[in-house]
Amino acid sequence: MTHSPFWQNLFRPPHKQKQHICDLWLATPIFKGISRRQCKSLVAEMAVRRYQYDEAIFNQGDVGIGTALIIKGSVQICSGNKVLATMEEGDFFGEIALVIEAPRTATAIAHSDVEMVFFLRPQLESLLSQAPRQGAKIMQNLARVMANRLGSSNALLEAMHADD
Amino acid sequence: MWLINSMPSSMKALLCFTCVLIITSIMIWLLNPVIIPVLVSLVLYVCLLPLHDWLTNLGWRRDLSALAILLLIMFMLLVPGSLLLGAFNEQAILWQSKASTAGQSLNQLLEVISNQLAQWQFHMEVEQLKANILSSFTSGEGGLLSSLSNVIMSVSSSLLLVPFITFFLLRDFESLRNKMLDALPNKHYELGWLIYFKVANQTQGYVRAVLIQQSILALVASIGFWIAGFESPVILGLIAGVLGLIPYVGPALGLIPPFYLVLANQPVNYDAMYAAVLVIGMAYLIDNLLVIPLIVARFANLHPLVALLSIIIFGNFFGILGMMAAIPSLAIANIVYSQFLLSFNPKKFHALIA
Repeated sequence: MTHSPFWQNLFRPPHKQKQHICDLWLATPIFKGISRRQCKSLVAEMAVRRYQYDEAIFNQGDVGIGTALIIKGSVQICSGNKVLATMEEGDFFGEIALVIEAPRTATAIAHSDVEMVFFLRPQLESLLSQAPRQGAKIMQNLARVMANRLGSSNALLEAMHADD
Repeated sequence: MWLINSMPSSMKALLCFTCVLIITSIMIWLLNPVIIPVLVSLVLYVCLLPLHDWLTNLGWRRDLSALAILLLIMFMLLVPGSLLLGAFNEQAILWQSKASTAGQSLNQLLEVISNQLAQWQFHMEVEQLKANILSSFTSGEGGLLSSLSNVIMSVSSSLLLVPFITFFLLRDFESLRNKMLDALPNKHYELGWLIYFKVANQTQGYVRAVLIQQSILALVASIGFWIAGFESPVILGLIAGVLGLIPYVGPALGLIPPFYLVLANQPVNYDAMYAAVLVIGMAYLIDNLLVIPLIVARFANLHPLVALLSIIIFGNFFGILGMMAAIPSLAIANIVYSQFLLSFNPKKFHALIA
Protein backbone atom coordinates (compact mmCIF):
# COMPACT_ATOMS: atom_id res chain seq x y z
CA MET A 1 0.00 0.00 0.00
CA THR A 2 2.91 2.37 0.78
CA HIS A 3 3.95 2.08 -2.89
CA SER A 4 0.61 3.47 -4.02
CA PRO A 5 1.04 6.81 -5.88
CA PHE A 6 -1.74 8.25 -3.69
CA TRP A 7 0.30 7.83 -0.48
CA GLN A 8 3.53 8.83 -2.24
CA ASN A 9 1.92 12.07 -3.41
CA LEU A 10 0.47 12.68 0.05
CA PHE A 11 3.54 11.93 2.16
CA ARG A 12 6.39 12.51 -0.24
CA PRO A 13 9.68 13.68 1.30
CA PRO A 14 10.62 17.31 0.66
CA HIS A 15 12.25 17.03 -2.74
CA LYS A 16 15.50 18.77 -3.61
CA GLN A 17 14.96 18.70 -7.31
CA LYS A 18 13.55 22.18 -7.98
CA GLN A 19 16.83 23.20 -9.61
CA HIS A 20 16.74 20.14 -11.85
CA ILE A 21 13.09 20.81 -12.80
CA CYS A 22 13.98 24.42 -13.58
CA ASP A 23 16.80 23.25 -15.87
CA LEU A 24 14.46 20.82 -17.63
CA TRP A 25 11.81 23.51 -18.22
CA LEU A 26 14.39 26.01 -19.49
CA ALA A 27 15.56 23.40 -22.01
CA THR A 28 12.03 23.10 -23.48
CA PRO A 29 10.93 25.34 -26.38
CA ILE A 30 8.03 26.65 -24.20
CA PHE A 31 10.42 28.32 -21.73
CA LYS A 32 12.89 29.59 -24.34
CA GLY A 33 13.93 33.17 -23.45
CA ILE A 34 12.41 33.02 -19.96
CA SER A 35 14.64 34.22 -17.12
CA ARG A 36 15.87 31.67 -14.58
CA ARG A 37 14.41 33.80 -11.76
CA GLN A 38 10.96 33.71 -13.34
CA CYS A 39 11.27 30.00 -14.03
CA LYS A 40 12.25 29.37 -10.40
CA SER A 41 9.21 31.22 -9.08
CA LEU A 42 6.96 29.19 -11.41
CA VAL A 43 8.60 25.89 -10.45
CA ALA A 44 8.17 26.77 -6.75
CA GLU A 45 4.41 26.39 -7.26
CA MET A 46 4.66 23.10 -9.15
CA ALA A 47 4.21 19.83 -7.29
CA VAL A 48 5.97 16.64 -8.33
CA ARG A 49 3.38 13.96 -9.13
CA ARG A 50 4.23 10.27 -9.12
CA TYR A 51 2.59 7.63 -11.33
CA GLN A 52 3.00 3.88 -11.34
CA TYR A 53 3.74 1.82 -14.44
CA ASP A 54 0.63 1.53 -16.63
CA GLU A 55 -1.28 4.21 -14.68
CA ALA A 56 -3.24 6.67 -16.83
CA ILE A 57 -1.95 10.23 -16.46
CA PHE A 58 -4.99 11.43 -18.34
CA ASN A 59 -7.48 9.91 -20.74
CA GLN A 60 -8.67 11.15 -24.10
CA GLY A 61 -11.68 13.40 -23.46
CA ASP A 62 -10.70 14.27 -19.87
CA VAL A 63 -10.72 17.84 -18.64
CA GLY A 64 -7.22 19.28 -19.09
CA ILE A 65 -5.75 22.27 -17.31
CA GLY A 66 -2.04 22.21 -18.07
CA THR A 67 1.01 20.76 -19.73
CA ALA A 68 3.11 18.05 -18.10
CA LEU A 69 6.91 17.75 -18.00
CA ILE A 70 8.52 14.37 -17.39
CA ILE A 71 11.23 14.44 -14.72
CA LYS A 72 11.80 10.71 -14.52
CA GLY A 73 10.53 7.72 -16.49
CA SER A 74 8.69 7.48 -19.79
CA VAL A 75 5.13 8.09 -20.95
CA GLN A 76 3.24 6.72 -23.94
CA ILE A 77 0.79 8.92 -25.80
CA CYS A 78 -1.99 6.80 -27.31
CA SER A 79 -5.11 7.25 -29.35
CA GLY A 80 -7.33 4.20 -29.08
CA ASN A 81 -4.98 1.23 -29.22
CA LYS A 82 -2.40 3.06 -31.31
CA VAL A 83 0.76 4.43 -29.65
CA LEU A 84 1.41 7.88 -31.14
CA ALA A 85 4.62 8.71 -29.29
CA THR A 86 6.81 7.76 -26.37
CA MET A 87 7.99 10.64 -24.20
CA GLU A 88 11.13 10.54 -22.04
CA GLU A 89 12.71 12.67 -19.32
CA GLY A 90 12.67 16.37 -20.28
CA ASP A 91 9.78 15.96 -22.76
CA PHE A 92 6.49 17.76 -22.27
CA PHE A 93 2.98 17.02 -23.52
CA GLY A 94 -0.63 18.23 -23.23
CA GLU A 95 0.28 21.83 -24.13
CA ILE A 96 -3.10 22.49 -25.82
CA ALA A 97 -4.72 22.63 -22.37
CA LEU A 98 -2.44 25.57 -21.56
CA VAL A 99 -4.17 27.66 -24.21
CA ILE A 100 -7.81 26.56 -24.27
CA GLU A 101 -10.23 24.64 -22.10
CA ALA A 102 -10.61 21.63 -24.33
CA PRO A 103 -10.82 17.90 -23.71
CA ARG A 104 -7.55 15.96 -23.91
CA THR A 105 -6.96 14.84 -27.50
CA ALA A 106 -5.05 11.67 -26.58
CA THR A 107 -4.44 9.35 -23.65
CA ALA A 108 -1.15 9.49 -21.71
CA ILE A 109 -0.06 6.33 -19.87
CA ALA A 110 2.97 5.84 -17.64
CA HIS A 111 5.34 3.44 -19.42
CA SER A 112 7.44 3.06 -16.27
CA ASP A 113 7.29 4.57 -12.80
CA VAL A 114 7.05 8.26 -13.64
CA GLU A 115 7.69 11.57 -11.88
CA MET A 116 6.36 14.71 -13.49
CA VAL A 117 5.24 18.28 -12.87
CA PHE A 118 2.32 20.24 -14.35
CA PHE A 119 2.47 23.82 -15.60
CA LEU A 120 -1.16 24.93 -15.21
CA ARG A 121 -3.18 27.37 -17.32
CA PRO A 122 -4.05 29.58 -14.32
CA GLN A 123 -0.30 29.86 -13.59
CA LEU A 124 0.22 31.10 -17.14
CA GLU A 125 -2.75 33.48 -16.83
CA SER A 126 -1.42 34.91 -13.60
CA LEU A 127 2.05 35.26 -15.18
CA LEU A 128 0.44 37.15 -18.07
CA SER A 129 -1.12 39.63 -15.66
CA GLN A 130 1.86 39.95 -13.30
CA ALA A 131 4.78 39.79 -15.73
CA PRO A 132 3.22 40.41 -19.16
CA ARG A 133 6.51 40.33 -21.11
CA GLN A 134 7.48 36.90 -19.77
CA GLY A 135 3.91 35.63 -20.14
CA ALA A 136 3.74 36.86 -23.74
CA LYS A 137 7.07 35.14 -24.43
CA ILE A 138 5.63 31.81 -23.25
CA MET A 139 2.49 32.36 -25.35
CA GLN A 140 4.67 33.08 -28.39
CA ASN A 141 6.74 29.95 -27.72
CA LEU A 142 3.55 27.91 -27.32
CA ALA A 143 2.27 29.21 -30.66
CA ARG A 144 5.57 28.11 -32.28
CA VAL A 145 5.39 24.65 -30.68
CA MET A 146 1.81 24.14 -31.83
CA ALA A 147 2.53 25.48 -35.32
CA ASN A 148 5.42 23.00 -35.60
CA ARG A 149 3.21 20.13 -34.39
CA LEU A 150 0.48 21.18 -36.86
CA GLY A 151 3.12 21.17 -39.62
CA SER A 152 4.23 17.67 -38.63
CA SER A 153 0.61 16.45 -38.55
CA ASN A 154 -0.04 17.92 -42.01
CA ALA A 155 3.10 16.24 -43.38
CA LEU A 156 1.96 12.93 -41.84
CA LEU A 157 -1.52 13.29 -43.37
CA GLU A 158 -0.03 14.11 -46.77
CA ALA A 159 2.21 11.04 -46.53
CA MET A 160 -0.83 8.90 -45.63
CA HIS A 161 -2.82 10.27 -48.59
CA ALA A 162 0.16 9.65 -50.88
CA ASP A 163 0.27 6.02 -49.68
CA ASP A 164 -3.46 5.64 -50.48
CA MET B 1 -16.64 0.47 -6.47
CA TRP B 2 -18.62 -1.57 -9.00
CA LEU B 3 -21.77 0.26 -7.91
CA ILE B 4 -20.13 3.66 -8.46
CA ASN B 5 -18.76 2.66 -11.87
CA SER B 6 -22.17 1.45 -13.03
CA MET B 7 -23.86 4.71 -12.00
CA PRO B 8 -24.94 7.24 -14.67
CA SER B 9 -22.71 10.32 -14.92
CA SER B 10 -25.29 12.61 -13.31
CA MET B 11 -25.47 10.32 -10.25
CA LYS B 12 -21.66 10.21 -9.99
CA ALA B 13 -21.56 14.02 -10.18
CA LEU B 14 -24.28 14.25 -7.52
CA LEU B 15 -22.38 11.83 -5.27
CA CYS B 16 -19.13 13.82 -5.59
CA PHE B 17 -21.03 17.06 -5.06
CA THR B 18 -22.68 15.67 -1.91
CA CYS B 19 -19.24 14.64 -0.57
CA VAL B 20 -17.89 18.16 -1.20
CA LEU B 21 -21.00 19.63 0.44
CA ILE B 22 -20.59 17.43 3.53
CA ILE B 23 -16.88 18.33 3.86
CA THR B 24 -17.69 22.05 3.44
CA SER B 25 -20.49 21.86 6.02
CA ILE B 26 -18.16 20.16 8.52
CA MET B 27 -15.52 22.86 7.93
CA ILE B 28 -18.11 25.64 8.43
CA TRP B 29 -19.34 23.91 11.60
CA LEU B 30 -15.78 23.63 12.92
CA LEU B 31 -15.04 27.26 12.04
CA ASN B 32 -18.33 28.49 13.54
CA PRO B 33 -16.79 30.25 16.58
CA VAL B 34 -14.49 32.29 14.33
CA ILE B 35 -16.61 32.39 11.18
CA ILE B 36 -17.01 36.21 11.12
CA PRO B 37 -13.29 37.10 11.48
CA VAL B 38 -12.42 34.36 8.96
CA LEU B 39 -14.95 35.70 6.44
CA VAL B 40 -13.83 39.32 6.94
CA SER B 41 -10.19 38.20 6.59
CA LEU B 42 -10.99 36.30 3.39
CA VAL B 43 -12.68 39.41 1.95
CA LEU B 44 -9.65 41.51 2.94
CA TYR B 45 -7.32 38.86 1.49
CA VAL B 46 -9.14 38.98 -1.84
CA CYS B 47 -8.98 42.80 -1.87
CA LEU B 48 -5.33 43.01 -0.85
CA LEU B 49 -4.01 40.16 -2.99
CA PRO B 50 -3.23 42.40 -6.03
CA LEU B 51 -1.16 44.70 -3.77
CA HIS B 52 0.63 41.69 -2.27
CA ASP B 53 1.36 40.29 -5.76
CA TRP B 54 2.62 43.69 -6.90
CA LEU B 55 5.01 43.96 -3.93
CA THR B 56 6.32 40.40 -4.38
CA ASN B 57 6.85 41.11 -8.08
CA LEU B 58 8.95 44.10 -7.08
CA GLY B 59 11.20 41.62 -5.29
CA TRP B 60 9.80 41.88 -1.73
CA ARG B 61 9.82 38.67 0.31
CA ARG B 62 6.33 37.20 0.83
CA ASP B 63 6.40 37.57 4.63
CA LEU B 64 7.75 41.13 4.40
CA SER B 65 5.06 42.12 1.93
CA ALA B 66 2.36 40.52 4.14
CA LEU B 67 3.78 42.34 7.18
CA ALA B 68 3.72 45.70 5.38
CA ILE B 69 0.10 45.08 4.40
CA LEU B 70 -0.74 44.04 7.99
CA LEU B 71 0.58 47.38 9.25
CA LEU B 72 -1.34 49.17 6.50
CA ILE B 73 -4.60 47.44 7.55
CA MET B 74 -4.03 48.35 11.20
CA PHE B 75 -3.48 52.03 10.54
CA MET B 76 -5.67 52.66 7.50
CA LEU B 77 -8.69 50.46 8.22
CA LEU B 78 -8.86 49.46 11.86
CA VAL B 79 -8.61 52.89 13.52
CA PRO B 80 -11.34 54.64 11.46
CA GLY B 81 -13.29 51.34 11.34
CA SER B 82 -13.39 51.02 15.13
CA LEU B 83 -14.48 54.67 15.50
CA LEU B 84 -17.24 54.18 12.96
CA LEU B 85 -18.47 50.94 14.56
CA GLY B 86 -18.50 52.62 17.99
CA ALA B 87 -20.55 55.49 16.59
CA PHE B 88 -22.95 53.04 14.97
CA ASN B 89 -23.45 51.11 18.17
CA GLU B 90 -24.19 54.32 20.11
CA GLN B 91 -26.71 55.26 17.43
CA ALA B 92 -28.33 51.79 17.55
CA ILE B 93 -28.75 52.05 21.35
CA LEU B 94 -30.24 55.56 20.94
CA TRP B 95 -32.66 54.30 18.28
CA GLN B 96 -33.71 51.39 20.48
CA SER B 97 -34.49 53.83 23.33
CA LYS B 98 -36.89 55.70 21.03
CA ALA B 99 -38.93 52.54 20.35
CA SER B 100 -41.99 53.70 22.36
CA THR B 101 -42.17 57.06 20.51
CA ALA B 102 -41.82 55.24 17.20
CA GLY B 103 -44.59 52.86 18.33
CA GLN B 104 -46.99 55.73 19.03
CA SER B 105 -46.20 57.38 15.69
CA LEU B 106 -46.59 54.07 13.90
CA ASN B 107 -49.96 53.62 15.59
CA GLN B 108 -51.12 57.03 14.34
CA LEU B 109 -49.81 56.31 10.84
CA LEU B 110 -51.52 52.91 10.71
CA GLU B 111 -54.80 54.47 11.98
CA VAL B 112 -54.68 56.99 9.11
CA ILE B 113 -53.94 54.22 6.60
CA SER B 114 -56.65 52.00 8.13
CA ASN B 115 -59.26 54.76 7.91
CA GLN B 116 -58.28 55.43 4.32
CA LEU B 117 -58.56 51.70 3.49
CA ALA B 118 -61.92 51.43 5.29
CA GLN B 119 -63.32 54.00 2.87
CA TRP B 120 -62.38 51.57 0.09
CA GLN B 121 -64.00 48.62 1.99
CA PHE B 122 -60.66 47.14 3.14
CA HIS B 123 -60.24 46.36 6.85
CA MET B 124 -56.94 46.13 8.69
CA GLU B 125 -56.08 44.87 12.22
CA VAL B 126 -54.05 47.92 13.27
CA GLU B 127 -52.99 46.72 16.74
CA GLN B 128 -51.78 43.34 15.55
CA LEU B 129 -49.92 44.79 12.58
CA LYS B 130 -48.26 47.40 14.79
CA ALA B 131 -47.23 44.73 17.32
CA ASN B 132 -45.80 42.57 14.54
CA ILE B 133 -43.81 45.41 12.97
CA LEU B 134 -42.39 46.66 16.26
CA SER B 135 -41.53 43.19 17.54
CA SER B 136 -39.77 42.26 14.30
CA PHE B 137 -37.83 45.51 14.49
CA THR B 138 -36.80 45.80 18.13
CA SER B 139 -37.52 42.60 20.06
CA GLY B 140 -34.68 40.53 21.55
CA GLU B 141 -32.93 37.88 19.43
CA GLY B 142 -34.83 38.10 16.15
CA GLY B 143 -35.25 41.90 16.00
CA LEU B 144 -33.71 43.68 13.04
CA LEU B 145 -31.99 46.33 15.17
CA SER B 146 -30.51 43.80 17.58
CA SER B 147 -29.62 41.46 14.73
CA LEU B 148 -27.78 44.23 12.86
CA SER B 149 -26.24 45.40 16.11
CA ASN B 150 -25.13 41.82 16.89
CA VAL B 151 -23.47 41.46 13.49
CA ILE B 152 -21.71 44.81 13.87
CA MET B 153 -20.63 44.00 17.44
CA SER B 154 -19.36 40.53 16.43
CA VAL B 155 -17.36 42.14 13.63
CA SER B 156 -15.97 44.82 15.91
CA SER B 157 -15.07 42.38 18.72
CA SER B 158 -13.22 40.19 16.25
CA LEU B 159 -11.43 43.12 14.62
CA LEU B 160 -8.29 42.30 16.57
CA LEU B 161 -8.18 38.83 15.05
CA VAL B 162 -8.75 39.96 11.47
CA PRO B 163 -5.32 41.52 10.68
CA PHE B 164 -3.48 38.43 11.92
CA ILE B 165 -5.64 35.98 9.96
CA THR B 166 -5.24 38.22 6.89
CA PHE B 167 -1.46 38.31 7.41
CA PHE B 168 -1.22 34.51 7.50
CA LEU B 169 -3.59 34.18 4.54
CA LEU B 170 -1.42 36.54 2.47
CA ARG B 171 1.75 34.76 3.53
CA ASP B 172 0.72 31.11 3.48
CA PHE B 173 -2.60 30.65 1.66
CA GLU B 174 -1.02 29.65 -1.65
CA SER B 175 1.29 27.05 -0.12
CA LEU B 176 -1.55 25.65 2.01
CA ARG B 177 -3.78 25.48 -1.06
CA ASN B 178 -1.05 23.76 -3.04
CA LYS B 179 -0.54 21.18 -0.29
CA MET B 180 -4.28 20.46 -0.08
CA LEU B 181 -4.69 20.12 -3.85
CA ASP B 182 -1.50 18.06 -4.15
CA ALA B 183 -3.11 15.53 -1.81
CA LEU B 184 -5.72 14.77 -4.48
CA PRO B 185 -5.42 11.37 -6.16
CA ASN B 186 -3.71 11.46 -9.58
CA LYS B 187 -6.99 10.74 -11.36
CA HIS B 188 -8.66 13.89 -10.01
CA TYR B 189 -5.63 16.18 -9.78
CA GLU B 190 -6.38 18.33 -12.84
CA LEU B 191 -10.13 18.39 -12.15
CA GLY B 192 -9.48 19.58 -8.59
CA TRP B 193 -7.30 22.46 -9.80
CA LEU B 194 -9.80 23.37 -12.51
CA ILE B 195 -12.69 23.57 -10.04
CA TYR B 196 -10.56 25.50 -7.55
CA PHE B 197 -9.49 28.09 -10.12
CA LYS B 198 -12.99 28.54 -11.54
CA VAL B 199 -14.47 29.04 -8.08
CA ALA B 200 -11.59 31.28 -6.93
CA ASN B 201 -11.71 33.46 -10.06
CA GLN B 202 -15.48 33.93 -9.88
CA THR B 203 -15.53 34.52 -6.12
CA GLN B 204 -12.61 36.96 -6.14
CA GLY B 205 -14.18 38.94 -8.99
CA TYR B 206 -17.56 38.92 -7.23
CA VAL B 207 -16.21 40.01 -3.84
CA ARG B 208 -14.17 42.89 -5.32
CA ALA B 209 -17.01 44.06 -7.56
CA VAL B 210 -19.65 43.83 -4.82
CA LEU B 211 -17.47 45.82 -2.42
CA ILE B 212 -17.07 48.56 -5.02
CA GLN B 213 -20.81 48.40 -5.78
CA GLN B 214 -21.82 48.69 -2.12
CA SER B 215 -19.35 51.52 -1.50
CA ILE B 216 -20.92 53.47 -4.39
CA LEU B 217 -24.40 52.67 -3.05
CA ALA B 218 -23.49 53.77 0.49
CA LEU B 219 -21.90 56.98 -0.82
CA VAL B 220 -24.90 57.90 -3.01
CA ALA B 221 -27.35 57.08 -0.18
CA SER B 222 -25.29 59.08 2.39
CA ILE B 223 -25.23 62.13 0.12
CA GLY B 224 -28.98 61.72 -0.50
CA PHE B 225 -29.80 61.45 3.24
CA TRP B 226 -27.57 64.46 3.95
CA ILE B 227 -29.37 66.54 1.30
CA ALA B 228 -32.76 65.35 2.63
CA GLY B 229 -31.75 66.59 6.11
CA PHE B 230 -31.67 63.28 8.00
CA GLU B 231 -29.63 63.00 11.18
CA SER B 232 -26.62 60.61 10.93
CA PRO B 233 -26.69 60.45 7.10
CA VAL B 234 -23.38 58.54 6.94
CA ILE B 235 -24.65 55.78 9.24
CA LEU B 236 -27.95 55.53 7.33
CA GLY B 237 -26.00 55.36 4.06
CA LEU B 238 -23.68 52.68 5.43
CA ILE B 239 -26.66 50.61 6.64
CA ALA B 240 -28.21 50.91 3.17
CA GLY B 241 -24.84 49.82 1.69
CA VAL B 242 -24.52 46.80 4.03
CA LEU B 243 -28.15 45.76 3.52
CA GLY B 244 -27.63 46.20 -0.22
CA LEU B 245 -25.47 43.08 0.00
CA ILE B 246 -28.75 41.18 0.27
CA PRO B 247 -30.06 41.03 -3.29
CA TYR B 248 -33.75 41.74 -4.02
CA VAL B 249 -34.86 42.44 -0.43
CA GLY B 250 -31.97 44.82 0.43
CA PRO B 251 -33.72 48.00 -0.79
CA ALA B 252 -36.82 47.33 1.33
CA LEU B 253 -34.68 46.60 4.39
CA GLY B 254 -32.63 49.75 3.70
CA LEU B 255 -35.81 51.84 4.03
CA ILE B 256 -36.57 50.61 7.55
CA PRO B 257 -33.94 52.65 9.50
CA PRO B 258 -34.85 56.06 7.93
CA PHE B 259 -38.59 55.28 8.36
CA TYR B 260 -37.96 54.33 11.97
CA LEU B 261 -35.98 57.53 12.50
CA VAL B 262 -38.80 59.61 11.02
CA LEU B 263 -41.38 57.91 13.28
CA ALA B 264 -39.12 58.17 16.37
CA ASN B 265 -38.94 61.98 16.20
CA GLN B 266 -41.94 64.12 17.25
CA PRO B 267 -43.65 65.79 15.44
CA VAL B 268 -43.52 63.22 12.65
CA ASN B 269 -42.43 64.70 9.33
CA TYR B 270 -44.15 62.44 6.81
CA ASP B 271 -42.49 64.24 3.89
CA ALA B 272 -39.18 62.83 5.14
CA MET B 273 -40.56 59.33 4.46
CA TYR B 274 -41.10 60.22 0.80
CA ALA B 275 -37.59 61.71 0.77
CA ALA B 276 -36.18 58.45 2.18
CA VAL B 277 -37.98 56.42 -0.50
CA LEU B 278 -36.61 58.82 -3.13
CA VAL B 279 -33.03 58.59 -1.78
CA ILE B 280 -33.02 54.78 -1.56
CA GLY B 281 -34.83 54.55 -4.90
CA MET B 282 -32.25 56.77 -6.64
CA ALA B 283 -29.32 54.95 -5.03
CA TYR B 284 -30.67 51.56 -6.14
CA LEU B 285 -31.58 52.89 -9.60
CA ILE B 286 -27.95 53.90 -10.16
CA ASP B 287 -26.85 50.60 -8.65
CA ASN B 288 -29.22 48.48 -10.73
CA LEU B 289 -28.62 50.30 -13.99
CA LEU B 290 -24.85 50.47 -13.78
CA VAL B 291 -23.46 47.75 -11.55
CA ILE B 292 -25.81 44.80 -10.96
CA PRO B 293 -26.13 43.73 -14.63
CA LEU B 294 -22.34 43.65 -14.86
CA ILE B 295 -21.72 41.76 -11.62
CA VAL B 296 -24.52 39.67 -10.09
CA ALA B 297 -26.03 38.50 -13.38
CA ARG B 298 -22.65 37.52 -14.85
CA PHE B 299 -21.45 35.81 -11.69
CA ALA B 300 -24.53 33.98 -10.53
CA ASN B 301 -26.47 33.15 -13.70
CA LEU B 302 -29.37 32.09 -11.48
CA HIS B 303 -33.10 32.30 -12.01
CA PRO B 304 -34.49 35.19 -9.89
CA LEU B 305 -36.95 32.83 -8.14
CA VAL B 306 -34.16 30.40 -7.21
CA ALA B 307 -32.06 33.33 -5.97
CA LEU B 308 -34.96 34.74 -3.93
CA LEU B 309 -35.79 31.36 -2.37
CA SER B 310 -32.13 30.75 -1.54
CA ILE B 311 -31.94 34.15 0.20
CA ILE B 312 -35.00 33.30 2.31
CA ILE B 313 -33.73 29.80 3.19
CA PHE B 314 -30.15 30.95 3.97
CA GLY B 315 -31.59 33.88 5.95
CA ASN B 316 -33.74 31.51 7.97
CA PHE B 317 -30.75 29.35 8.93
CA PHE B 318 -27.87 31.83 9.15
CA GLY B 319 -29.47 35.30 9.61
CA ILE B 320 -28.27 38.41 7.79
CA LEU B 321 -24.86 36.89 7.01
CA GLY B 322 -26.62 33.91 5.43
CA MET B 323 -28.71 36.23 3.25
CA MET B 324 -25.55 37.98 2.06
CA ALA B 325 -23.79 34.70 1.35
CA ALA B 326 -26.77 33.01 -0.36
CA ILE B 327 -26.13 34.08 -3.97
CA PRO B 328 -22.33 33.50 -4.02
CA SER B 329 -22.75 30.14 -2.24
CA LEU B 330 -25.36 29.00 -4.73
CA ALA B 331 -23.27 30.19 -7.66
CA ILE B 332 -20.20 28.33 -6.33
CA ALA B 333 -22.30 25.18 -5.85
CA ASN B 334 -23.49 25.60 -9.45
CA ILE B 335 -19.90 25.80 -10.77
CA VAL B 336 -18.74 22.77 -8.76
CA TYR B 337 -21.71 20.60 -9.76
CA SER B 338 -21.47 21.62 -13.46
CA GLN B 339 -17.76 20.82 -13.50
CA PHE B 340 -18.33 17.38 -11.93
CA LEU B 341 -21.08 16.75 -14.46
CA LEU B 342 -18.81 17.72 -17.37
CA SER B 343 -15.91 15.63 -16.13
CA PHE B 344 -18.09 12.52 -15.74
CA ASN B 345 -19.74 13.10 -19.10
CA PRO B 346 -17.01 13.75 -21.72
CA LYS B 347 -19.57 13.74 -24.58
CA LYS B 348 -21.29 16.76 -23.06
CA PHE B 349 -17.88 18.40 -22.64
CA HIS B 350 -17.07 17.84 -26.32
CA ALA B 351 -20.48 19.27 -27.32
CA LEU B 352 -19.94 22.31 -25.09
CA ILE B 353 -16.52 23.03 -26.59
CA ALA B 354 -17.81 22.54 -30.12
